[in-house]
Amino acid sequence: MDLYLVRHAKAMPRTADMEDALRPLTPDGKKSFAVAVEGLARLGVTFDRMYHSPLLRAVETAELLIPLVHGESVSTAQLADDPSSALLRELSGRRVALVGHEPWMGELAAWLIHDDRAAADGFVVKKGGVIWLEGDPAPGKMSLRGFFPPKVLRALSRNDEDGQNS
Amino acid sequence: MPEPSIPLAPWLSHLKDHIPIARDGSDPEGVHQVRVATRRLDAWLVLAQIDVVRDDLRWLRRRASAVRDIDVLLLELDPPREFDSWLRELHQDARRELLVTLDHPRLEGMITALEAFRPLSMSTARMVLPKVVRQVLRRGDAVESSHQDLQKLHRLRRGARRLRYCLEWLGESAKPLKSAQKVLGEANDVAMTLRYINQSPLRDSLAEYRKTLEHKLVELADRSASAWTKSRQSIEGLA
Repeated sequence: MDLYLVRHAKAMPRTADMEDALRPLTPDGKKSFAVAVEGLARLGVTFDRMYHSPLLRAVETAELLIPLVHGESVSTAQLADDPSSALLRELSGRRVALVGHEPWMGELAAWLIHDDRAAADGFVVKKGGVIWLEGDPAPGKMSLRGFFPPKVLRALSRNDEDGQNS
Repeated sequence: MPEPSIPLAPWLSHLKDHIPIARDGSDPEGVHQVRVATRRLDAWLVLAQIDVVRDDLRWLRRRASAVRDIDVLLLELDPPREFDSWLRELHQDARRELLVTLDHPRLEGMITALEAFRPLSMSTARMVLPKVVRQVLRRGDAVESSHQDLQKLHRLRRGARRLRYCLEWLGESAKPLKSAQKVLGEANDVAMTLRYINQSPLRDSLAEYRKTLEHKLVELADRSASAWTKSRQSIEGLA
């Protein structure tokens, strides 16, 4: 399985009068991530299944990824919590995206690569960033194929517009 | 003055209220209303131009439909007795699968995601409506050119139903679509019964019943096409 761990794009800050689950992406967050999605598209990335957290910022991020999804999208509460074996058992597909939150995306990467969640410090994903893993989705059974900060994905998109990637 | 908006909350509450009734299973209305709510919520997402979560609704609807279709057959279409007991076995399997679905974390995820959507602006919804109308008109054209094609009738029935729900979200009358929908629905019930008969090990012994239904279906397909032609004029202006 090619597994892409995607952290939600930039969202409105936490405030006392806005429930955390209802925080939307900022207009700038939406715009930047839409460009990052173009960068992923230029890399030839597509998904045959996408799982996303049900929190609004992740749902809105998942919506922006829809052009790359050629299969089903799945809401799951398991992506708004510590990564679990139940989540891993749920995964199916060959090219799969998971859209979620930190620190859980980093923990999941460390768990899948090293079978050691404590190594998550090395895998902190920026908002709108993507980690690409390959292998069996089980602890210690995946290897790192790519680590894309959002800036790199946006640059890939821009490079192509300038004809530098051709 | 704030712009008018359309919250999805009423139908989301409807869904949540009927999940326990569907789980309990003693009142078939529970599963029926779960299915209706998924369709109405899907129409809201169409108007909001949101794609994520529609697959979740489809997933739940498919499992609810497997139960509801047999409920309709058993409760409303009066099948022959030998067919009835085979259907009851199938119904039990479908209910078991539905119960797994109702306890699945995907359902909790779907509901949380739907709860997070802000009310849809009326002006956005109105901008999207013509697209939904045009899709139904295209499907209607396909039926007019070959009205005995059940696949095309089925697509028209689903499109017309989605349009009705979209109109209802916008607070507009969907009355002109209702008569076409009624006869399209009757045709679908007969087509569905035939599908189950063809899957059944009793297929051969039900030959007489099957023949009666096949004749009925031909007649209903003709009536569906005429009912659609009448409804068509009333929605063309919305495109």
